[in-house]
Amino acid sequence: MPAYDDDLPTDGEEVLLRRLTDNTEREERLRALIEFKNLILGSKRCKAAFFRVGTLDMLYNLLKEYSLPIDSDILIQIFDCISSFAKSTNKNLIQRLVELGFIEQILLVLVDDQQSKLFYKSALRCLRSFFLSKKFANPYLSPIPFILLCDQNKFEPKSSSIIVDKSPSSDKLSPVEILFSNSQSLAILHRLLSISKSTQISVLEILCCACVDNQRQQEIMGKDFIPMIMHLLIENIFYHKRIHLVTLANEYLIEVCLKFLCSISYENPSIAQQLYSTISSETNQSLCEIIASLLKKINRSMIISYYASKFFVNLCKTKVLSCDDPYVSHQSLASLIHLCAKSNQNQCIYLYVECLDTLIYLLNGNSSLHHTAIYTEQLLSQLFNYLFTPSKIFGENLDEAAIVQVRSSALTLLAVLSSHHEDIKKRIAEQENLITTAIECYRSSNVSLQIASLRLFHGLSRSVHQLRTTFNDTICDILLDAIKSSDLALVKIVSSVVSNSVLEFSICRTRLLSGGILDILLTFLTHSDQELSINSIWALRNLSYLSTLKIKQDILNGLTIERIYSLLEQCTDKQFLICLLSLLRNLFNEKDTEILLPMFNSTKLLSTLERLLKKNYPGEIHREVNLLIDHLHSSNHPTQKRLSADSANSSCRSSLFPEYDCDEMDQLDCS
Amino acid sequence: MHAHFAQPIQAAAAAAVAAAMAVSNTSSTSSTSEAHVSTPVHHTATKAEWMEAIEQQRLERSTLNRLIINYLVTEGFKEAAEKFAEEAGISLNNVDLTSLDERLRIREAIESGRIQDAINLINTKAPELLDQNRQLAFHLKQQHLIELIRSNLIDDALTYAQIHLAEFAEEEIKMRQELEKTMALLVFDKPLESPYGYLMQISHRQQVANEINSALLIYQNDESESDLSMLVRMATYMQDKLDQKQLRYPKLIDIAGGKLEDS
Repeated sequence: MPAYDDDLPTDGEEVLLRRLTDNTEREERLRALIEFKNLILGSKRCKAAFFRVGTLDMLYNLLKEYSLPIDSDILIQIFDCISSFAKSTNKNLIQRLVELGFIEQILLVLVDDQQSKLFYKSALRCLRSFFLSKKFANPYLSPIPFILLCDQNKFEPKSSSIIVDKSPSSDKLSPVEILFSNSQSLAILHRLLSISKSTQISVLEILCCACVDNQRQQEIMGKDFIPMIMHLLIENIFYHKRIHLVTLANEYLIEVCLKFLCSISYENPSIAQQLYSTISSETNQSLCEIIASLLKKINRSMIISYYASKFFVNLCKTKVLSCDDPYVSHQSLASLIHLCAKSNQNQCIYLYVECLDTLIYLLNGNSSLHHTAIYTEQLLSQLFNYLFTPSKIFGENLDEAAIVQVRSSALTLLAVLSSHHEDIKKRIAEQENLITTAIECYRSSNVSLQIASLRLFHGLSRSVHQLRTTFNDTICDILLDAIKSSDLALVKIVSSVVSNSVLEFSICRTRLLSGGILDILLTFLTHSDQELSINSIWALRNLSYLSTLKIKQDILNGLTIERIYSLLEQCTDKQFLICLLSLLRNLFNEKDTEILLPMFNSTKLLSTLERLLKKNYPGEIHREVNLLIDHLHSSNHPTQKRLSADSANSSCRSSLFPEYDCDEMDQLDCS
Repeated sequence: MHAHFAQPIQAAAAAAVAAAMAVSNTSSTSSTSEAHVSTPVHHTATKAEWMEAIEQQRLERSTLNRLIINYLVTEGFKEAAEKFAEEAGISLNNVDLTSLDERLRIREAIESGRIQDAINLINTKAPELLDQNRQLAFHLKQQHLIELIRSNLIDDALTYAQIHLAEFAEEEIKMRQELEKTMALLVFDKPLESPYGYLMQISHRQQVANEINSALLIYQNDESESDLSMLVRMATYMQDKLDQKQLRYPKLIDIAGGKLEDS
């Protein structure tokens, strides 16, 4: 906590406050406000001190007093003061600003359309400070929680509603909620777009922050902002001025327009489709063509290239564009890789992190792009540089937090690249020092690095070859350590790694078993976190495959027969049931059936399974049940052949992809 | 004024172009006969050839004029810009002279030691600047502290440092070190002659003024340095590249005078 947090205003500052409150003469108030503003701008101590004595309440009263009628000179000073307070990192201060109702009051005065440009500029700047405050960070603008995906091309698109973590900042008192609670807000912002470049930038940045979920995106879309933003984009792209083709002001507006288009299309297939189909009435080009033209210019700013690429990434992730669409595979992907590899120490390191995170977002689940991504080795070599020697790229004076972020993102991207194709896995795993570095990252005190290293192990564990070679005792010990962590995020990732590492051919299996992994997995079965419980049943399924009788008995003793029956009867989670059924199939492997089946009472088991068939479960469950029934029947009648599906299709009896959908065994490299 | 600027601008621009060509052609250059075996010395061109290459760079007068105007406007020399524009027949319609005026007033305030006035003007023109740029806010307040020390207002200086500068020292080690150096001036009878006397030099005010000017230009979405400055830096960079490759060429040794080294 800073030392000045307990400070109170000095005597001189107290006198100034009294001038503001006691003196009602307008000119004197204006002078006092200007002095007050000059004190707090650039001073955290002053802001903290004034906050402690309730100055915000005083400012709010002044704001109300001079709003009817509007005294723009005084209000401009108040806006500048509040804007400064809103930039504070003191959460209580920000909360107080919101509680008092500054946002609502500012929106109220903005209804007046007779004021000066400076007035609107100042008011919007103040509003923007609220929205950009870290306390109310838009989850759509920050990295989303990460799950290593299977190839998404095989499956249905994700549903359009995204569940956003409900944090205290996303309650009714957030700036976004306040904005939308006023039915005129969006119309006011729309009107203010035409005032000046400065108001355009502020409005667009506010709208970016307001795109917090699909519903809000749709509301913004409904207010017809797109034609205006298309116009701004075109106007600023083709504007010529003096020596430079595009001034910095034009560039900044292009950046903000692109950022808005990215925010509004993020994880929203319907809006993404609309944008894809949008044609400019000025140039007769589609929005995609206009944005793609920005990627073709060599001298474009990194930020423009980044947001232009990100727009196509969003269209790809919402299935509006396929992975092999040139906008994605040739332009966007190439541009992002080029940005990552571009050495420019003057650029903010967080831009590099954004590029890496966007690549992660694009490539996760889109394995057809992986070979394109690593085609020239440019990306891989840069990722290794970020991971091993970030200070050589960014200089020695980089702060620790930035280094951690860039290393975490690089490691996670390597995890994504190593999650599918065997040749890429091999290339990455065999990189000198990579595994050692990943182990060091896990052993660091930083959670982001720990998680990223586990993600890499997860990606590599999706390979028979890697499970047979790379996963040595050190990594086993790491898995055993991580699975006992109190951090749920860590435990969930490592449970995915363990799910693969317990397979019969894995060199990790014995050490994990002797380290007590079975008991741990059994306790996770009833965990409140659904993903963790599914990962644990998945792991048990994999553990039981081609396993010894002793291990199968240990699994049964841990699970208990009663519990198995209870789960078969009552469990409604589709994925859990599928894993449980295939676990049973694995247990009743030919030579062990005679010993294990009597523990179940085969008649009771068959009748339970037949009851399952009558329930309205999806086809996958019925298929598993039928396979198991058939398996049990042929056990009872050894001469009877099993259904061909059982022997030819050994899928779903084990899998290297602990996800919600089963994957085919034929993806394994059994060499 | 036009003649004074023309040659070095031409030389800088042309040198940048000629140097770039020389660097790209190094692979085809052969050693001289007296070259040491381990450190071959290559020639790119004789002075005559070099001057010919420069002369062939046809820079239009209008381009040179725009470079000069850009420099004067960027650095805040409003009167000079207006006079030059008049003489050269250039329109200043696209130039925001109000903004230029404001930057000029801020520069004048800093260079005359009226730092609080400068802060007030900056907060009027760019209210978010000092919140967004902590280093800038620190340097301004540090300069104000220096002015208090210069005026021998020791008590005021101590109070000011405690109230307005201590927070910066907490945040970043570099700022704390700079503050310590500034406070150390109080220990000396003749601070100007102390090891940290450079802080009290007028040039330090100019340094702060330049920093503020660049920041204000960036804040209003303009280029933070003039094209001329960038050209000079380019020429210096290209000459460094040629030197690293141990090439001999007519080096631009006096940019202001446009003087080339005899090769």
